[in-house]
Amino acid sequence: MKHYMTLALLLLTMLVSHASNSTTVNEYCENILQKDPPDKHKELFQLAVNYASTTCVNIMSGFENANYSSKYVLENTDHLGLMEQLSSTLLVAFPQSVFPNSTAFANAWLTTPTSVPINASEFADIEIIRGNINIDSTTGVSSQKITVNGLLATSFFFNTADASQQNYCISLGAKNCTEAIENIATAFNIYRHYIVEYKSNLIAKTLRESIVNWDIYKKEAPALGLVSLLATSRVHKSLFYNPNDPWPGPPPYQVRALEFSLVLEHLPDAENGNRTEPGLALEWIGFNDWDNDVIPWGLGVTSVYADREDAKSIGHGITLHLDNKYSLGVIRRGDDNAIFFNISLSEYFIGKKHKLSDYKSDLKKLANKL
Amino acid sequence: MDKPIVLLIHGMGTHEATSTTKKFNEGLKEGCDFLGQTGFDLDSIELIEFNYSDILDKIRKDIAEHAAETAELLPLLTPTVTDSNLIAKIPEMVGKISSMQTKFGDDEFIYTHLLDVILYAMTMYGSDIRTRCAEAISSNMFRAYAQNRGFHIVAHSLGTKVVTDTMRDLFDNTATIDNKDKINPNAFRPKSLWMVSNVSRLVGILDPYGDPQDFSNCIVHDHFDKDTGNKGAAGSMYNLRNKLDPFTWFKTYKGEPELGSNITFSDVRKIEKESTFINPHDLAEYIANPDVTYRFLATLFDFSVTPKQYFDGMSAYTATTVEGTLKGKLENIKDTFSDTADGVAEASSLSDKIDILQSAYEALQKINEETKVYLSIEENNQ
Repeated sequence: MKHYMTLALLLLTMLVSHASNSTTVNEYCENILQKDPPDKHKELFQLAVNYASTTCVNIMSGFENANYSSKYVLENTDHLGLMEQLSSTLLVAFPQSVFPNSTAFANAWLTTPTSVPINASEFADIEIIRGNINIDSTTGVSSQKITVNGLLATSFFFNTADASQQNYCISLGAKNCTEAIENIATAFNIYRHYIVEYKSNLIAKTLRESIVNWDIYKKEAPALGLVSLLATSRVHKSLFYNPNDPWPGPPPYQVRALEFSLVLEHLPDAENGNRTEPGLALEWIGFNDWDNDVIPWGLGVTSVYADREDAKSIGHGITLHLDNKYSLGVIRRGDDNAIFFNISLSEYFIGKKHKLSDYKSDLKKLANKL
Repeated sequence: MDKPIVLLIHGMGTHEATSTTKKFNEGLKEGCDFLGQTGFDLDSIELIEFNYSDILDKIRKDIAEHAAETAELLPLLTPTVTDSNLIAKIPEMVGKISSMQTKFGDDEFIYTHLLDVILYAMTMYGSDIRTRCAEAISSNMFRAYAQNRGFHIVAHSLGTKVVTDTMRDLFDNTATIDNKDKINPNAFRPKSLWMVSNVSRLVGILDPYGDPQDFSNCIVHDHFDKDTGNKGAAGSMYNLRNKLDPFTWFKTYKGEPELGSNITFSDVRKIEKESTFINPHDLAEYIANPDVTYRFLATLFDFSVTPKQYFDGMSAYTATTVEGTLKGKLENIKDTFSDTADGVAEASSLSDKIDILQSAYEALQKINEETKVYLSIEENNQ
């Protein structure tokens, strides 16, 4: 009954959210950008914000279905209006006569993006790179080259020590040329706010999923010794160094090599009272499918040593690992077969009795009762 | 522009949360003081730490515990030594492995540091660390874009290798918007990348990434395409190298960014802090050089000093450095190790490669010893 109610509630929620979907999108896209306009270039800022809101609606309503097309993002935007405003603003603040390459830089923005899927560089921002300071070793006077990067790999630059450039910017009311270009960038760069957000979410999803899987691995899979760790890493090398799939998450299975463990061995043919003995197992090589959907399992080739009077002290066989915790196996000891299972040592040592000798005598007592 | 975001990526060894931030600020403050900028507000930069040392600490601890358990089990085998030749060899073999492994849990300098390099470059946990580093880079970079702020990265020592590999995997000049794994640096990139004691080539001998200073194969450089036709994944790139830092003696990084620069100096400082330990590999020591401080801050925002402040700052800094006997001794150590450094090119086997890494640590320890002896003689003379 409870389940039916939950289901009905879920359906109702889905219906309501579907009905109001477009309104919600519009509200979200309008509200999130309600920022105070900057002091300079208010008109450019307004055009950029409107542009961003429209691309937000476009991207949130079926961008994937439109194969990530630039045209779909541009629908209903005043792309040309925004870019013309930017271009003319740039040419006024940074004329070619004072700032070489600035015309090409300004004109590049008038190119309309066309790519499918979007080549994100068609939605570049105005980027200001403060270059290396140049310090005159005799006078100590320093100067800095400021590079401004824009669309289609265009750029122009100016120098903080170039008086004619700086004076020009100051004459137009800025503190210096860096501030002048920063004002334009601040007003304009918001135009691609949703393209940034979209890409950010897309990448974050991939990376966070991979990180969660690593966290699960560390929690669920048994810890490995150094030899096994190196072996597991070596076997999956192409997985962990694949430039086409760089965030693979944890290994699909563990390789086990030279793993020691304490086991309790039962030899049915031994004399009564000596049938169950503690033993030492060495798994030479094996694997553990730690993430198996049904039950984690693995196999290993194992030798077990037990101090037996009436049988060979060394036996060889197979270990079966189960559920990342338990291991059991069968070995051949001379002409006899024995079964064994592992005891989680770490769990034991955390408990009251710390000495292996205590454990061994405990096991003896236990074995005598069996 | 609002205050810039700087992502700090630490080097080898154990780093408590915020310790890298503290160290970095310590260096920055000292550098500002030299430059007469005593009122510089450290809060004008948002420092974010990417801390991966807890991952490596945990693995080291796991390995040591695992080995300790194995060591506890070994006595059980003793009665069988005469049983067969095969079994006789096991305790010896495992003994060797576990005596090596149990040391890994200790915080002994050489084991912690060398093992960090091996665990990062030769095990799957390198991929784990890179994935987390990529998340730190992309989340902070996109946050900076959304808030109209600058985003910069400062990596130190092993951190330079981690950030190089991560950015190689994260950035791609052909990535389209729907690419779920990669970011196109023509649209989104950090404004500057600061590599402090760049060991990306040295540690790179252990993994298949290829030479990072070959810009035609590695995207981790400045956003400039003079030679390769491919613009790099960072706006600008700076490589800081103290010539007396032994980690820069082997497989020295020699890539030459056009936007940014390689800042090289050759100073050892006599520091009267908690001990007389002198460390030319130290992050704070690199940043405290006023020439570095100045260039770094001027990359983030409007920051300039007068010629007098600059010259005074450099003289005040030089007064804290060690000249003469000690510097000469350190240069001798450098010469001693240069043979090993030359041998790096031919090193092909894994043991050769690990020997090279070990030499770097030995050089650093030798520097510390020489410094301690020198300083104690100096103290006695006073």
